[in-house]
Amino acid sequence: MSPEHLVAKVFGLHPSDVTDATSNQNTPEWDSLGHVTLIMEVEGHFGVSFSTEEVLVLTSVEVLKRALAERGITW
Amino acid sequence: MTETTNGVTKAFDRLGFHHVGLACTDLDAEERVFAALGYVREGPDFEDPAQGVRGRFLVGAGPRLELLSELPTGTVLGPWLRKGVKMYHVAYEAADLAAADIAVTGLGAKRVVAPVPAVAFGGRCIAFYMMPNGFLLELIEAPAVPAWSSAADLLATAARRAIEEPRRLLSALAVLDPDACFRSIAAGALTGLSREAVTSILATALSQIRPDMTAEELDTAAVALNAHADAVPRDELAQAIATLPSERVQMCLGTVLHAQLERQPTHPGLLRAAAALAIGAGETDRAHTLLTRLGLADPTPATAAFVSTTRGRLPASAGLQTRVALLSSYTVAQLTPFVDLMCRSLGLVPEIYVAPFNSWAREMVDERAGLRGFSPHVTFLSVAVDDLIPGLVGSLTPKELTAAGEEALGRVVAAVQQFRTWSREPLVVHGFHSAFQDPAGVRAGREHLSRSQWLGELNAQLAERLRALPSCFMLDMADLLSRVDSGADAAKMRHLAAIRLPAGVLPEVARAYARYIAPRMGLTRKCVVVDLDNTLWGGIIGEDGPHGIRLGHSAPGSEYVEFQQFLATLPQRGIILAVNSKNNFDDAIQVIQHHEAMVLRDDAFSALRINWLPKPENMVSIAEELGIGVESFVFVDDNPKERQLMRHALPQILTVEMPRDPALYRATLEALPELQTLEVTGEDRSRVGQYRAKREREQMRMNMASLEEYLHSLGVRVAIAPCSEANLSRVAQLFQRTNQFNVTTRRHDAPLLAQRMTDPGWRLYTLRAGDRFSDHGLVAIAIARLDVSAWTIESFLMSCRVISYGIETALLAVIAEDALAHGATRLCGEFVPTKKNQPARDLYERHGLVMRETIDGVQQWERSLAPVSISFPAWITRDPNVA
Repeated sequence: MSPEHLVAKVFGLHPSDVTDATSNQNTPEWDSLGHVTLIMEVEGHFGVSFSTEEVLVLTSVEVLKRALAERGITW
Repeated sequence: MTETTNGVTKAFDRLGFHHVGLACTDLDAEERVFAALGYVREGPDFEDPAQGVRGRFLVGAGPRLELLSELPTGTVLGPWLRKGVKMYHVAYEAADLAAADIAVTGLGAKRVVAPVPAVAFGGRCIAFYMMPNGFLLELIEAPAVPAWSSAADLLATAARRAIEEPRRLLSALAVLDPDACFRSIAAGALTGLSREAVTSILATALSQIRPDMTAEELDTAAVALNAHADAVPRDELAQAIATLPSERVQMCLGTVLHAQLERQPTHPGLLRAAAALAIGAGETDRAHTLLTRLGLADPTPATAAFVSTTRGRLPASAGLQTRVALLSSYTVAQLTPFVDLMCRSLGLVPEIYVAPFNSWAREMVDERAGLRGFSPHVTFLSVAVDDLIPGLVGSLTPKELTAAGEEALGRVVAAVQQFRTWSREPLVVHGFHSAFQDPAGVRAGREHLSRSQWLGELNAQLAERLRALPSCFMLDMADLLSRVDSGADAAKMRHLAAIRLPAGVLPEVARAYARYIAPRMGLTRKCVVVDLDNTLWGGIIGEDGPHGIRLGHSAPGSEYVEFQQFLATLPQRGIILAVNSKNNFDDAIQVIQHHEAMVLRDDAFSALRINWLPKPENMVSIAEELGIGVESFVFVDDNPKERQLMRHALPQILTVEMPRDPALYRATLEALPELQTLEVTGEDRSRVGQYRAKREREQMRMNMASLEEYLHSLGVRVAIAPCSEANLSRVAQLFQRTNQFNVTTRRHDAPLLAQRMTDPGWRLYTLRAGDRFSDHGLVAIAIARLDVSAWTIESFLMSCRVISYGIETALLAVIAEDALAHGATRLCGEFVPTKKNQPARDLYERHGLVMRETIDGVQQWERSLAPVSISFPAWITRDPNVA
């Protein structure tokens, strides 16, 4: 499952509506609670762990994908 | 010929890879290695005197290999072999060898072998070049483009490939043209392939489904998928469906989805897709049910949140409303979706009140706070000791710790007492737990109480203070937390979400909440009805026999003892037990009454239905006997078919989805919210005894019509024959062993029996019995003393395994018939009562004999055989072939 799919899953969006630009600024479901939920889902799915500091800035699909790519994750 | 476009020489436009050349000393030794990797020979060996080599082509998983060894005249491989270089050239086919030759030399390559006809390629030319980078290149003149005349050959080759390896061809087709692939699958292209192969091809085809596929194309896909319903890859199906517009799915793939969901009812992807479909179709109740199933199948925060948000957009579902309040010193927003979910799984429609952040004390005390207006059915209070005593993160002296603990306890208890002044509803208080370890490390507890000992004492005090108040319960958090692997996420949750619970424990906490909510909402069931075989013991009594079943103090068998021990505790909660089993009554009751490891004896059950009737029918009759509704029942059966039948016939009954492993039976029932009670009254406890007395009365009214029907259905067969040398030892054995169904318990031995066998004054009868399931062997014996006017039963014994089939009637009827044939008009019987022969006590009475007198402790029974004799049971057939 791609990061876009996970975002769609967590926030109940259609996968085709999720793009790199999808972020907590333009997605009402992506609130602070949703954010923690999303990060836990991403961590569990890809078997990675982000520090608290990192978690706080991973607030768009683009940044999230970049952080995963930096850890050598492909999807 | 050497003009370039973007630096690529056009002469190389149609360069095609051909092979890698390997320098070898022994072709066979080389081939053995590659054969182990799956390579096979492409054709016969060739010898090229012009190059001085012998060669062999291998094909397999990787590129084609050309193994070459030197002919005695050869010289080209020597240098490579000496240097230890094995892979020494790479060959390409060039459409225009002359042009390529010019282009390659133009790059500065040295022509090692000028174009020359080669044996290996049917006389087509080859050439070798040493490139400037030391790379040895071989160019092969490409074969001419096939003419129309040879297209038939190409098609034949393709067809042959398709037959030999349809999997690869269809996988390729799936990528190139999923629609064409589905069409050929729908037409039966995969028939005869292994399930794994079908799954792999379907997975490839499903991954190619695009949102713009037409309804017609999707219909074809549906036909293809339904034709291989057992092999459909469910993850890929769910993903494919998620990419399609929901009306398209509804129209074309709905049947596929439902068929797959039936096969795997807990697949999260399929449940999600089905829920989306139900929402799209406006089927609100179905959507709610599917969302609940999804949440239970995948209890992660993401899914729980998705379920709860999606539900929020739907019209409310029908059901009993329950109001649940969550008060906490920390954020419980992550917990709320799980509480909602667990309430839904009980069939409740919850309204959840979350008190404002850290306002728990005010909410419980202040009349104007939201809690009071909400009027909760159940309230949960989670106050973290780490919040009450911020110093726990660092070091505290023993004195400080004790004082802080007392103060924290006081604050919680005071709030609870205030709550009690205005609400009588149940209140559940989380036990204290801390995220921080004792600062003393391994020395903890050496000098004074360790943190965990201190917490244990604090919790004991909390429990004691709550015990003094009505309807206040403590939730043992240490127990819950120990059951999940909290790992790193406890710390992360604390810092990011301000929640003092690890994410993994959230579903467990919500499940624990459900165990208080269910009884508060009146969902407690009154009676647990259990199956016997493979439920209370391992194995099948009718097949394995009383000594073959698994029930005892070591595994396999100890799981069942553990389960029975749990069931035996249910009466403490006012919950009664009953049996509903398909079995021969006598077989089963023997185990229940006499098996040494059996925990639940006959008197543990308020009703017994051990027969061959459909189980739902038995359920209704148990309900009538006990005077309770079927909606009071929990049904526990290891057999999925029986469960399905029960759910279908009587959906009001809670039919528990039992795990396959009997070791998990106990935990499964322990976790059931519907078996929880908040208050147990004296009346509840005595209920068990009342039901038991009622059962004894009602049993008298057993339906005789259905009993006869049952006996007919058994297809009992008997073979009655005189005792013979062949079965004498078995007969003597039965005389020694039989205690229960034995009228005189005379222990005749083999010599006496042999003597009577030939004495015309006696007749020895043996009976072998069988039914439509199995043969039971020699199970009954009678000895009659023959007098002129009367025959007297001197011995009559029968194995307990066949009691209640009417077999004794069959034997008596045959004896009476023989007596009449010999001119006797009366049948007499002797009976000696013992402590054990209760089962035989009414034998004579049931067959019309009357007791005349007792001589020396031997009862003398008698009846006339004329005008009416003893009739042979209608449900038994005589069959001399019974084994």
